[in-house]
Amino acid sequence: MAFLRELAMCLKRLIVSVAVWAGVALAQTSPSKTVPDLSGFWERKDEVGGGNFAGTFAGIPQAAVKPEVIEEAKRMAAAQARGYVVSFASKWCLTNTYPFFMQHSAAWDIAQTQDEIALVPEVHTFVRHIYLDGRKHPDPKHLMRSVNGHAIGHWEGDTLLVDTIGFVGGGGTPGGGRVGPMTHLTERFKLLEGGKKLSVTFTWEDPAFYLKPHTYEMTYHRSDPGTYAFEEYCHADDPVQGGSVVQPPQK
Amino acid sequence: MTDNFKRSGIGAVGVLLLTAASFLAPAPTRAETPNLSGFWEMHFDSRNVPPAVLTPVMANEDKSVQYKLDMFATRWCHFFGVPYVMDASPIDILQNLNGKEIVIATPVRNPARHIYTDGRTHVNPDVFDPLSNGHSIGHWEGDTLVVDTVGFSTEGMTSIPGGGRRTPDSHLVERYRLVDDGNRLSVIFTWEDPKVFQKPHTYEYRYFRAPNGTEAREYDCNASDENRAKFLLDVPGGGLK
Repeated sequence: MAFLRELAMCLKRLIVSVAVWAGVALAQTSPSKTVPDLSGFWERKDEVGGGNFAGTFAGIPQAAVKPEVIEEAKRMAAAQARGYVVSFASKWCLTNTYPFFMQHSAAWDIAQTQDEIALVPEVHTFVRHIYLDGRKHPDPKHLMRSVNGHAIGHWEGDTLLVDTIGFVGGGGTPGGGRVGPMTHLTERFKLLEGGKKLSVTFTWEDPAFYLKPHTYEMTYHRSDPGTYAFEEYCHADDPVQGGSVVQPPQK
Repeated sequence: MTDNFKRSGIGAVGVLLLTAASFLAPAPTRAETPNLSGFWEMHFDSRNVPPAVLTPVMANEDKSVQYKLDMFATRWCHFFGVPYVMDASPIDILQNLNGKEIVIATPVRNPARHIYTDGRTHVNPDVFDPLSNGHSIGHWEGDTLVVDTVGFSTEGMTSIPGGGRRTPDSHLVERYRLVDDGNRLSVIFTWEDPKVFQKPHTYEYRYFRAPNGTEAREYDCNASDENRAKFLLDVPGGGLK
């Protein structure tokens, strides 16, 4: 009987040890095995409009911006109405700032590894790098500002949470928001409908522009298998492209 | 008898432990392949590039022709394309966890390279719009990633290290293999183009794994910058013949 009690205790200790070990093992392996696979090509589709792509912006709220931002927008609109060219970006094929390619009609690609996710556009801009290796944002003194900003991410359940600072600024957001050097962006990436769609919720914050955080959601459709990337050329040397913006005689 | 029973009891527990361990071991999701992901840098001793054996037409071409082509693309911020982007250090390789694609991103304002590893073939050239990076498909041969690229455009910086230029008829095969315990990446490039090379032109780059925490850079390009344009178009030393 003593032997059986000893054996029973031995088995109990071993089973408890196995259970604890298994729990630790699962805890270590589960994040890499259970994170959703966002990789692949994604594109926007006009589900609510007349098919002219304008419907993809339906439902995006107007940003609550400061009065001086509204005044500046009014001045620019009035100048444009008088024939003043507000921007020569398309004439010179200047770099598209974030989040331009996220609302563009061209598909974009997600490449996903354990330590990094890249958003890969076709248009005139840079790949957006989102670091998942646990690094922090650089010290502001050493932050090199960029059109895509400095982005770090982590998983919260089935949602990829991305935090970005360090934009060069100068661009805009859907809904009339602005992006500046001190703008802070939070994004939440989540698969919908069994991975057929991808929801991205953007929240922009910047006391220089916004009265409150500007939040909106965009939904992307997974592209067909076999989709491949194009390159959206822009030739500033081409007279046709150069003529896309012609400044009329100034009054 | 008792000792045997104890041993068999402990043995049974051992079997239980091993069974549990095998049940909990991560199941492989795809064939194990080397992980090329991460930032890779070019150093001063990264290039072993012999001179290409060019066709007579290419060999006799005025050297200023290629110079002007590359400077024009640079001045106007065109997409540079392959092979130039493979010199744009550091390159960032993202090898998708699902094994279907490998992306190579660079700091220059150029589309990333997409290497499809999902078993697809090249796109029918009758419907394919040529690209500065071409259309790339890859597969693994043991520890080596073999990448096959066709469908190049005439866009960008077309000069090829060692001589010659990329054309719409060019065919590039690259072999990626980790060396030095994964601290270096060997890439062997082999170009074929009957109008450019008399025989396949092969050279090798060795990239160094960048330190942890390496950040991507953005080397912007502004075609409207007049000072930049003047610098790029004024030929130092008095011009070309």
